Amino acid sequence: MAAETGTPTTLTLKSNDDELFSVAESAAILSVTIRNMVEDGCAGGVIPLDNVDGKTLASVITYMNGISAIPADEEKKKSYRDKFLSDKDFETLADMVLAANYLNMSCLMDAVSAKIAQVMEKKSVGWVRRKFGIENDYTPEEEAAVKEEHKWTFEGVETDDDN
Amino acid sequence: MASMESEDIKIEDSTMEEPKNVCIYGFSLARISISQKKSRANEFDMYMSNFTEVFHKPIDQKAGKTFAQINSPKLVDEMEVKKHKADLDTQNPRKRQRIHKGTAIEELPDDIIVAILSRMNIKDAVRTSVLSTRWKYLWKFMSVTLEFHDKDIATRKKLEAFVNRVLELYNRVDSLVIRFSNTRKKTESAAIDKWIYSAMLKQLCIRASDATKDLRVVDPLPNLKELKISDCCNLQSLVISATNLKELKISDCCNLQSLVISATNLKELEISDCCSLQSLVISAMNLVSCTYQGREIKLSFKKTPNELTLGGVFCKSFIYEPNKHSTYSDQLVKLVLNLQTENVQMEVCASHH
Repeated sequence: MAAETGTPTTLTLKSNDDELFSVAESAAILSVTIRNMVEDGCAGGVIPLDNVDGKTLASVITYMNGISAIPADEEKKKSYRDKFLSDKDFETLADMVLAANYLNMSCLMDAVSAKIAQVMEKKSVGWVRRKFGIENDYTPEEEAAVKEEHKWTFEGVETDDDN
Repeated sequence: MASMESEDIKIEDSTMEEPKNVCIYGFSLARISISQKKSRANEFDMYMSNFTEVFHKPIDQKAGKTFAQINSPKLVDEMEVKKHKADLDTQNPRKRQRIHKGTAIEELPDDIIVAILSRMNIKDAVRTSVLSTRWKYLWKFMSVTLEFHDKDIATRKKLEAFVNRVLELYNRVDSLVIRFSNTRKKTESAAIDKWIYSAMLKQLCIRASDATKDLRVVDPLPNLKELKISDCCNLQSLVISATNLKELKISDCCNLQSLVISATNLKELEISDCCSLQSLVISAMNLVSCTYQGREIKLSFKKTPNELTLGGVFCKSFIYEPNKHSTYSDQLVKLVLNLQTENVQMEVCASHH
């Protein structure tokens, strides 16, 4: 694994749109997918990551570097994660959650899922449909029936003009 | 891969068994028509210099002459047609140049949606069933720790009704955490009993309940694997008898005096900071690890666990009065003593005299 010389090992990652990134092994192995490759000795050349595009991978690497620079302090790590995700839009978050899932990075997966969950909190059905690009394929009767069944979940929901 | 000579290419859904990612490379192509059976189908990346039009036709219209050969490297969820400009990299058409527009939440696979729902509170998660038919049942696949805190809900009565409703409605709950703030009026112990006996529950945590003096958690509890009880300051007597229980933690129950545990399959037991404890009976034949932190009591095991962790006053007693502990100390495989270092130094100096 780690180089015997004591110099930090660098890995080269390739996104699905052929962008190359170099990243310190110590940061990259936050991804269990990459760690397994390193442990199996197949991380020598370029590591192709077929399910991650360059823009997302750049972002993930920023996260890897940022979080691994923080010593074992859960509070600080958490505030780094919050800050890291604070300015990301839904599309970016969706790309990140897919990448985190593929790379098997539980801390990022948790943080991004929680962030998406958090924006849906107390939001009206109409708002979520609009923001997330969800097409309502219920018939009006079906929708009314589902709404009726889960009526109790509509207490305290933010009002929305299109709902 | 489409033939480069053809002027028209028709792709029929019947050639694709499953939705696929399709790449078409063609130079003289002027027109392409795509027919599909399913609305949720494919992602088309097209790299064509003369590309001008895209048609979508329903499958019923019988397609004409040329069927394209289709390469299908991976499944992509949603139909997305990306039009590349004519001047795009004609020298090296095979180089994939995706213009990535970002993924909509709706395009995420079900398992990731479920992961997101699992991090939501139950009320918000269940409400997503109204979004569309796809979402109707997704919330039912959440692996959940349901966590309730009575500060979120106006009254204890409402909390009880709410928890009951959720347990009824949602029979996949495998973990339940109930937290109480100490400022409210008491919860009926009957309600807590009901939650404990919720048949599907695998894990149950009760925190800071001031409800009850005596609590009995007794069989049948076929699924209960993990039980945590903490900060229950009025609790005086606790009886736990659960055949399938694997993990039990009891902490910070400051008035707990009597504790009886009978659990054949219990593997891990932790009792800490129950400073009034006077009587402790443990009957657990398969106990592997036990942690006890607190005042000095008579500790006896039917079968000594392999690993024992001790802390607090009891731990000192283990050091200074080893004879008191000889019934089990010689059978231990691993022993951890949690001492506060300053105190130990002090004590060690004292013992020199």
